[in-house]
Amino acid sequence: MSISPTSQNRLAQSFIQRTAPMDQEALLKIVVACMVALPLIVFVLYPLIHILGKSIQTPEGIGLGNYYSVLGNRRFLGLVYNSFEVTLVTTALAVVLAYVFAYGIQRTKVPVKNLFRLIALIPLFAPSLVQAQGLLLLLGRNGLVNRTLATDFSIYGYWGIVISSVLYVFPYAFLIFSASLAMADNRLYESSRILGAGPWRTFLTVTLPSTRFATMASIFVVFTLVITDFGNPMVIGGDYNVLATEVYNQVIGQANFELGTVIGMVLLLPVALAVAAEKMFNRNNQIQLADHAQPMAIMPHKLRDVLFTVYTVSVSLCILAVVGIVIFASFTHLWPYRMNFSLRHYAFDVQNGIQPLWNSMYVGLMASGIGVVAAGLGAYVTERFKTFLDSPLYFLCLVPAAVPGMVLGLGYILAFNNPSNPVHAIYGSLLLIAICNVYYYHAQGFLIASTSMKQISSNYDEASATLGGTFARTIRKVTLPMMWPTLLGVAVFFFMRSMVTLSAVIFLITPSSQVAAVSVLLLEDRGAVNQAAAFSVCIMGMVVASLIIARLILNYFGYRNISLIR
Amino acid sequence: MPLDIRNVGKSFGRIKALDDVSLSIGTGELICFLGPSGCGKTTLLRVIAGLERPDSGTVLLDNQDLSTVPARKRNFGMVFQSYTLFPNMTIWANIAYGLECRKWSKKDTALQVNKMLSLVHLEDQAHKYPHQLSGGQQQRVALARALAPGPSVLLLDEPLSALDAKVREELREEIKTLQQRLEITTIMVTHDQEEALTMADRIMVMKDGRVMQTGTPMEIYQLPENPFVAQFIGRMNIVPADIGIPFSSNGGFKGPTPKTLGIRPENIHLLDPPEAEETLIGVVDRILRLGNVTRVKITLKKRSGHDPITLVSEVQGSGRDLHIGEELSLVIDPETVRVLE
Repeated sequence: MSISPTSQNRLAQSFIQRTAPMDQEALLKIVVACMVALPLIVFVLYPLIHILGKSIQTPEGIGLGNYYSVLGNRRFLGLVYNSFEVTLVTTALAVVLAYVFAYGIQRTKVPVKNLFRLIALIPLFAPSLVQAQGLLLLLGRNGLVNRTLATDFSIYGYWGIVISSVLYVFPYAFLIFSASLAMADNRLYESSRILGAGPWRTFLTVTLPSTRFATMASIFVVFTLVITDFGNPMVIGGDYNVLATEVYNQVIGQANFELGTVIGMVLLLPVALAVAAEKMFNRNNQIQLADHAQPMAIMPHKLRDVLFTVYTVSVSLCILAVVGIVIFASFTHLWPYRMNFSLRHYAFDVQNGIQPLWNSMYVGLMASGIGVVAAGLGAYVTERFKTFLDSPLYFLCLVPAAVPGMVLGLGYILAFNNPSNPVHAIYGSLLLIAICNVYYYHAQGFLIASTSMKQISSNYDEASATLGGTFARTIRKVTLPMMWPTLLGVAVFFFMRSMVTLSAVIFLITPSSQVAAVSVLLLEDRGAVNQAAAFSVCIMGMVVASLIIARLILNYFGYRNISLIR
Repeated sequence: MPLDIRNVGKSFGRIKALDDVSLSIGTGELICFLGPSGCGKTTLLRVIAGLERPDSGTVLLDNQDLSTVPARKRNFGMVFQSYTLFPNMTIWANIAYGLECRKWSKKDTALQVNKMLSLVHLEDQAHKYPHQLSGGQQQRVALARALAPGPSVLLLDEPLSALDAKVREELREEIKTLQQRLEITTIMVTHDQEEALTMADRIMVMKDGRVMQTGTPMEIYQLPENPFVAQFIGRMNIVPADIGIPFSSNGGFKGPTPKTLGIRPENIHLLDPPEAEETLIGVVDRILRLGNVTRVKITLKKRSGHDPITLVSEVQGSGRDLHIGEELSLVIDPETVRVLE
């Protein structure tokens, strides 16, 4: 085939046009995009590759030997069964309970709604094993009930895990349903009434369909949380083992990393599927209100309102009882033998003393700082840059959602506990724990930032550009001043989660870098329930304090409608 | 400064947003890109502004290729449909923004901002924030902000479509006056034909990423070159050429045999009694009284080989003597009939 000189010329010309740098800013965008991608690769993908590598490493070389021995093992199959049994029952219970609770708050005339809403969210402020802790204080062998009624039953085991897990995931499901039920077009409900439908029929034909995506989303979210949760089964599971506790036992108890990683991989699969399903539902089915939607007008209905009030009060009491008993126990002299008031557990007369609390705070502050930059920049780059890296980067930002915390933590040991890796320099430090938390929660933080970025029209950036504003000036003068309330919310999110999380950091702590949530677990394990309770209370106190400070700052600047709790 | 758009093409995935678009714009000219939504007019404006890179073709300002010049260095002023005043800045700071980007001195900036504020009659609003202003006021600030650095070209992206009718008409006047006073080359994107007809020196009508016709408002209205332009701008009856409507070969139609004709409703006159045999005769189907004008729908008497043809005529006044079912004769001046195809 011959190419005439002119068409050759044209080809060359079009090539130059396509490849010629528009200016340095285009290059800068690529560089920044890579800066976002690099830590995600180092701190998420690289550890995962190590997990995979370790799991196929056998004494006879590379192979699936570990998988065969685990999957052929009766005990292991029993663990899989246990995990799914607990997770599915918990998911069903939590989703139904939270739906009804959210319905009561959003669609009926239950009094003091804000109080009930706050109570529903309390488990988010506490270390993730506080439910098991409280449940034991209430219903354990030495619990309040057995002691006062002189009975002798035990909550350890299956039902203990289910009840504490339901309480643990309740706020997550509640938040999803609450947001979904808050969006309603009154005209649909009026039409339904005018057409002669009763309340039950209206619920089935209007309300339920409009919340079906929220239902799917909360099922997947709750499923993921429960199957990967390790604190509650650890504390209250007794002899009832699940996959998450087995990873811990294999790695910490028997230093069997190969088996630990295999089980981690087995855990990764359902979680990845659940997250993928949730994202798929969310992407295709964002329910949006019509332009002229009318706000919901809730008609009073005596019987309904009374029933829902009874229900919300009961659920609230359960949540309060579990957390309240922990607070109470922290102030007793020696639970359950000497119940008189004492502050002695707040002296933290235990190994490491009060240091774990300080460590938690440092980790929380570092995580919120690093998290804001990582998630904020990730959102900015994927929403605004319009480079070819957009969709791979978006995917990369969401990958952490599919990785169980324990698996990520285990990956960190395998990847970074190696002097030849540059990250080894910070191995065992609080900084690496903070980084681990940031990338464990990266997907959620990223989505918060990215949603809010979507709501700010990209025309502002373009207006700045046409006026001669550089990239840096646009960020400093236009984007950041509009984004900071959301970014503060993202910072609070990372702080909160870092304070209460257990699963990601459990493999990374050393005696000097122990964090408070781990202290709770270890003290609880040793039977030092009073001290464990005191640590839990302090963690809750710090989380609530951070929320109050952030709220005051936002209110001072007039941003009352930014929600801080996610 | 004169602006040249040469063979610009741009696709989004499979959709061709711009297909070989060319246009020359003279200094101080106000040109409108007019077309239905999705016709590519906004994409073209964004290509000119440097916010979108064309797949092919070039934009030249004063004979200089802008391909490698980013938006912020083009020195074009742009006004967006959704105001996009920076909400965190006062009106004053918004107008000063472009000057600060250009590192103007404090003194010069103050002078220029004040000048711009008086230009758009908002001297007393300088220290308010955008959300404290009405839509019309905000868009005037956006105009002032775009004009403050003395841009070589002003780009307006549907600047009036978010405003209500009365404000829109006021601002239309104001923009036109300002543009003529500053003699600034201006491109305005709109889907509102009335806006284009009243404001533009020239109009470029677009459809599916292609230019359908470019010309002065009167050329576009009186001499549409194809059925799309004819129907998009005002109303036009489109009929086959062989049904007996007289036409002259005006407008320099060069095709072999004319196929389609266009007639504006106001150019079809209705006379009471059917006169001679050769005239067109139709039956009144519908009468729509709009106050000063009456629109009449008439079906032509059937001729062999054709489906019934309906024409719309507009007559001045209330049309009190018209009745449905009545037979009338249609009188059309051949000079006003346009050969479209």
